[in-house]
Amino acid sequence: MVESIFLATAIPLFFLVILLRGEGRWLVAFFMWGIVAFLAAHYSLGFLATYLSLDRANLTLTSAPVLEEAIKALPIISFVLVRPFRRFLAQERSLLFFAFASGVGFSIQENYLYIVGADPFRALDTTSIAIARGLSTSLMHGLTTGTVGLGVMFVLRFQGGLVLSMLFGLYSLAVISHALFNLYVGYTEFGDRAALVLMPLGFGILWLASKYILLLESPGPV
Amino acid sequence: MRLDEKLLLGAVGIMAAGFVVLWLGNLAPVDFLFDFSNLVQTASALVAGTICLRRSYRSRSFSFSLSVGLALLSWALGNTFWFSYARLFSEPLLYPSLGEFGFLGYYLLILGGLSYQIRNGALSSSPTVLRYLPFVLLAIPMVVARSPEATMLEIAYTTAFIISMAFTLYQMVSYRFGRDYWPLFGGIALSIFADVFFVLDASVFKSGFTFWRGPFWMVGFAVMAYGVIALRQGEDKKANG
Repeated sequence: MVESIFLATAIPLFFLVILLRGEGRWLVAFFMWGIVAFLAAHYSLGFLATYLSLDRANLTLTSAPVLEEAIKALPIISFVLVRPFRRFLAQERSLLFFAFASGVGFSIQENYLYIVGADPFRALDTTSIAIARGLSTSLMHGLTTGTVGLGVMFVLRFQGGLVLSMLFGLYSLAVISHALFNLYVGYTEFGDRAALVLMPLGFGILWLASKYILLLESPGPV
Repeated sequence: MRLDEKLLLGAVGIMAAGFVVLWLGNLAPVDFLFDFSNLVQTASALVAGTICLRRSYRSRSFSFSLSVGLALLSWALGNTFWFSYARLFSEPLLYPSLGEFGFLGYYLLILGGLSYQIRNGALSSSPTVLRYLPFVLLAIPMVVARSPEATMLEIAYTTAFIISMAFTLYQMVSYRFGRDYWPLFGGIALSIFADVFFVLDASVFKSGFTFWRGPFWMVGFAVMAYGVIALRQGEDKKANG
């Protein structure tokens, strides 16, 4: 089922990527990366669950955040580590959009699996899953990868710092945010309701932060 | 300092003092002290992080203030995870756990932020011995590695954590920063002190959760926020002549 959903999404997008030019192509490519990342994470976590006998808590609270955030953010981080890639960027702000697209692509694939697994005779179930996950989990995935993207944007704009330290620090922030989300949504009664409020709020903060960072010159140290 | 910043930092200070009184006076059960200590530590990190992020707005040292703010938020999230897990599952997370990402991220982001402030690599006048003294901390992972019970994950994480602390101290001591940085560095030093003993307790002495470290983090983060405010006020004074 996972493979069918992946192919049904990836094949049309592939043709769209060929058709597009410039940053539009990159945006859709990063979205595609998100769905590839989901497939990779799905297989990896399945392997860990089977061969290391990991229980649900271990998978959702430890392995999933670490693996998923690393795979989702891989192409974003490459813009810092591989200099030739930067010529494809018209502006640094695009990194935030690309990162968010990667996270959203990942979560959309995940949403399909949840919807397909729901009771088909209860339309309210599938609709409520779609809305709830769209406003909470999907935004969470976009926000965590977006945080890394925002940070990479920031690292490229303000040259001269300890790049690897900042990148790993941002990755750590994304992992712990994801794990905290999984802990509260998966293991508390109020977590999912709180997520419906907090995730859109977080999106608003990310949007404001991205607008502000663009206005900055690079002032350098005091 | 703005009124809301004074109120928030004051509230954190009062809660920290309240914790110390309750703990030293044996006035509350252990479970309550555990919850209260972690809540105040997390609140301190969150308040300090929010202040630093707000003070980064239109700041000349935007990259630094932002990094410190994100570092404090990272610590707050890590502690929230560790504490929430312990409460929800009624068992503590073994060291090292996923919560450590928040604590390691704290030092990595501070390191990154400090690197933006190093002015043309100008070294301070500190003696060479003092500059390299922080690396004495590297003895700790060596002690951990010699323990037969230590796992590879424990050794690897402890090494990474201690290196990040040692390098942060090295940067603070080795490069030329003005007096404006002293409160901030004082706060960072308090958190490093608490974390060093956290690592020793967790991996060498295996003594479990202890209460005495909590106030160091509570006060350390509040002092860091005060330090960022002081830096920003210094910048504004220079800008206004």
